[in-house]
Amino acid sequence: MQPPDAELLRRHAGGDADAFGQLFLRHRDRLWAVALRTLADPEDAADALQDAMISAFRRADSFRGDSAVTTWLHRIVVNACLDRLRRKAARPATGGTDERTLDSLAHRRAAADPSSASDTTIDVMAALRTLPPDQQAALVLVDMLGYPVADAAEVLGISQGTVKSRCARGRARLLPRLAHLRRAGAVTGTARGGNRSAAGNVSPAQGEGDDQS
Amino acid sequence: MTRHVRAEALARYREGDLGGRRSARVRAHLAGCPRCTALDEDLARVSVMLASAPAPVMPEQVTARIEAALAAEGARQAPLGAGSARPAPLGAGRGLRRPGRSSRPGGSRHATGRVGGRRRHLPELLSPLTVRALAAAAAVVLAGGVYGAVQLLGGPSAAVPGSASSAAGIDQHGVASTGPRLAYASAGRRADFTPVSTGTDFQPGRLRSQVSSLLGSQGQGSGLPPANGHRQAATEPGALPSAPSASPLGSQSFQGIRFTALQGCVSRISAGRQVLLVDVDQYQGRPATVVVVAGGPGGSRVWVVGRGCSRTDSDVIAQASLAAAG
Repeated sequence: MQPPDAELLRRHAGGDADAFGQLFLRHRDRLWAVALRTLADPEDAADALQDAMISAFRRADSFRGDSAVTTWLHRIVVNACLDRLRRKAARPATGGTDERTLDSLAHRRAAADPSSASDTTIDVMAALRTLPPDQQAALVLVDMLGYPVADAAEVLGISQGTVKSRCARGRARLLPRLAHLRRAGAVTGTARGGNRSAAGNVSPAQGEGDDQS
Repeated sequence: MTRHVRAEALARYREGDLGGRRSARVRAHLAGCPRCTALDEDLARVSVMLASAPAPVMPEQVTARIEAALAAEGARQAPLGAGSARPAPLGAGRGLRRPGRSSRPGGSRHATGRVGGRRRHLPELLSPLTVRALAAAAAVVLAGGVYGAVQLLGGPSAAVPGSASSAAGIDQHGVASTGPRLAYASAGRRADFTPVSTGTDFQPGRLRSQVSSLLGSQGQGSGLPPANGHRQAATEPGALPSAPSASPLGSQSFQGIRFTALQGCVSRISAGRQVLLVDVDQYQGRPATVVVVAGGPGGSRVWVVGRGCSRTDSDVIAQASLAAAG
């Protein structure tokens, strides 16, 4: 029986040198998914995640137990990613997402993340990049990774209504960009990948080791 | 027939994000408009498309890199860790809330900054004496155990195969042995280090000068080698007979330390930075490994770790910084 998240965090705060590492290993894939889907670039994602983990490691005592440890960790990761996204947006290299950006994005993704290098995924990710960071973050959590709106709201530190609104605006903006996929019938109601028949049914609370304390 | 519904209004309608009257109007319109109904279905497909991307799995090198960074952070915060242990309170929860609204570009400064941070929850290491005692005990067990020889005997050649003489045999100076190149996790890229054993018994008061002299014998004025990729630690000390050890233990260990343990230890300690020296020797007469890591604020760092150092445990005995000024 593995200790719950909150217990690991307590042990970390109490001086257990391995506790935080266990916590990281337990949730690394979900945190990685958030970082990679938000930033698209694996190196950026790794940098952001490392910053976030170091930050969480240092600030373990800022966790107050009013949310799940996973929510707290997600929040730190999302903030680190959004900081990076905004910094990038603040100094646009090419003035937006042009063909070249999309190409390099696609190649890098294909190289670093072969499991998701399908054309559909690349197109979806590229389209997502054209959205404002706030809408991206909401859609990554809710639509891509299937977090319930309530969880996404807690992670993002905004109301559920705002999450819904950002998701809605984001989807509307994605519509024309993904129209060619729809026409080509690339994606049907049964999503590729099999284990998700629709968006929003993979809750982070279904993972192992969650602790709602 | 009422006006067509714009995509954004439709998307918000689907989320229940429209007011009651607008919502009712959209509903009424959809009932009689195939075009907007099709748009509505397309919007549903956008979510499905987004969900169709398979969830990525964290690559091993990213895992190793972050684990190493966390380990170094833990070691850095330890009582033995140098650096300014100033309690820089961040304020509980500050900076965590309102991420959506916060647009301050330095919002993650606390995350990227290497100075400061909280220290209240510092993991306490065992006292140095305890650690050293444990390390010594481990070495004795190893010496008589599966991995056999821990010792470095006099003479230019490496350890004697199969010998199970006591760890006291290490107490020979001026002897060098060189391990094979071993990979470690370095910022997601591949890098190697070559462990050596220079026969040095490092001492607390002389750690900096001892390390500097080992590094300096490479002919670097600053005492630090250039940060260009891989470096063969064994070739520098001129007085050392470079004796590539045909490992007596079936290429699985160096000086009684399993390669995998050494690699994990170096990955953990280096935290992605370049490794300048890995000297498997002694500290105050006890088995210890000295790892010198380049860069960072305050110059290169010297880590003295016990035999218990691995990917999951730092086992730090002492550390010091090699500031540029000396």
